[in-house]
Amino acid sequence: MSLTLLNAAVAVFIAICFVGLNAAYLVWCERKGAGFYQRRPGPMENGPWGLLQPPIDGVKLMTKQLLIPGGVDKAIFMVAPVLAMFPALISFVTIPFSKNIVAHPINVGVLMIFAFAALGGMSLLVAGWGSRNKYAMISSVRAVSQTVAYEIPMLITTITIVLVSGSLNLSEIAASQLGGFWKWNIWGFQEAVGYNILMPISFLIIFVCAVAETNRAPFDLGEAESELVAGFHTEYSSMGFGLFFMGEYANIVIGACLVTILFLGGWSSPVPLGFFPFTDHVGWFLLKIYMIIFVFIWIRWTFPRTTIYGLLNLSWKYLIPISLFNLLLTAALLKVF
Amino acid sequence: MTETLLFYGFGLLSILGALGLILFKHPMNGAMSFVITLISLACLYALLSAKLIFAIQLIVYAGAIMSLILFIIMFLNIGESDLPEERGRWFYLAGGIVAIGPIAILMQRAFKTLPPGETAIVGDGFGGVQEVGMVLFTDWLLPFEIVSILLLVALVGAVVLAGKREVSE
Repeated sequence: MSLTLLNAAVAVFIAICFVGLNAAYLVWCERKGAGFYQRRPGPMENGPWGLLQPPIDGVKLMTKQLLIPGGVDKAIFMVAPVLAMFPALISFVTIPFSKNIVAHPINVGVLMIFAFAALGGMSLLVAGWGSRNKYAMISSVRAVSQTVAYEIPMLITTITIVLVSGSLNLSEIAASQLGGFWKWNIWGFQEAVGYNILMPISFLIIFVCAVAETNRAPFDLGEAESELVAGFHTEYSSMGFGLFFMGEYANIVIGACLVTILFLGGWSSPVPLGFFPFTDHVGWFLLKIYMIIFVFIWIRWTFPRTTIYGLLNLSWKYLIPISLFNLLLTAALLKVF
Repeated sequence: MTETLLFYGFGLLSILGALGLILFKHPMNGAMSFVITLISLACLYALLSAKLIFAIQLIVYAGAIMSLILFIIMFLNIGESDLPEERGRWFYLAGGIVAIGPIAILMQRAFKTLPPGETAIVGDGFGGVQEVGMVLFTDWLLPFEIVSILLLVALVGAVVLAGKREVSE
């Protein structure tokens, strides 16, 4: 399939719909989850089980006035929310949902996701600076140092997987793990990963990095509301705030997709029996990413926030050395077996 | 057709960004326009179907390096009042034109004498992972390794500079 302007536009349109729906209903899931862990019902007023709450929130955000505080750097202030949302949308173009459902397979798909994530990280910095607000500024400095710190172990662990499957193409990485849950990269004791029993630890590293990269609790130092009002989006109202919010949830979905493709076999069925629900199809992919997102929510409402030093030390002193060691070990083992 | 339009669009954007970098007074605005230049350069690479270089340009330059530059600008916090007053601006401008003018004319003459070159369109795989990897690890292996040692030296140097110094009595 060639990438013409038309099917690029269609792909981006579908990505926008998917991201919008996910952002809206993941907020609902998050609030319901928070309610569950705190022994209260969560949103209940609008529609059955509060299911109409997300569209009503959307209308509220869209009809509110977009305030631009005096003294902000106007151009930068307006660019930041777009910069938060746009890369997250484009990343979906490269993600394979199943063998056939992928907007545009790119042979360096893994790198593309990291490239757009890097642009997204810049939006936090720009938002904090453009707001001309002490708290927003401190928050953006925190958020960016966190993003830079956790990008490194995430990239190194991804390189480990690239070595294992011999490709930077996300579809090929997922396809190399087809044929049952024992073929997934998370299990160390198989020939494809060179009998590297540290594979589960790699999975843990990339999972922790995904939580940290998406600025979620217990690593949401950038949005620590007890210290920094609301973090880098303190000064944003209406859809400016809405775009940050949607970008954040889009990033969560991308993080879950990446973990699923790299370690959990993408769309592969855990027990390939050959008849319908157990063949390899998009349903398994969606099931896996929503289970990971559920764990994200679970973690958020279970653990208290860390400190900024604890957060940076975890990455620089533990995750990076372990992931580097694991990369060398995997390369050596692949050479041996 | 679309490619040509996109090429002109991104080319214009990158030039505008470069102009903004040197013309804006506030360092933050300059840095932001530099980001525009870097991103549109990345898009130009993508138009040349060099996807790997596109991704690396975004990760390394637009992501990591620009974040660090913006960080430094934020920490220094330079306002309009901190900037030096530029009095003899027009004088310097005239001097610059006088100095650069002959060189520009010389360059133009030199370009005219060049024979019209044949440009062949390279294949679709140009700039892909495999091709770059093959070139790096076969033809350019030694320079590649030397550069990695250079980076290691820079890393050690940074650690030495940033490390705690013992106060001499």
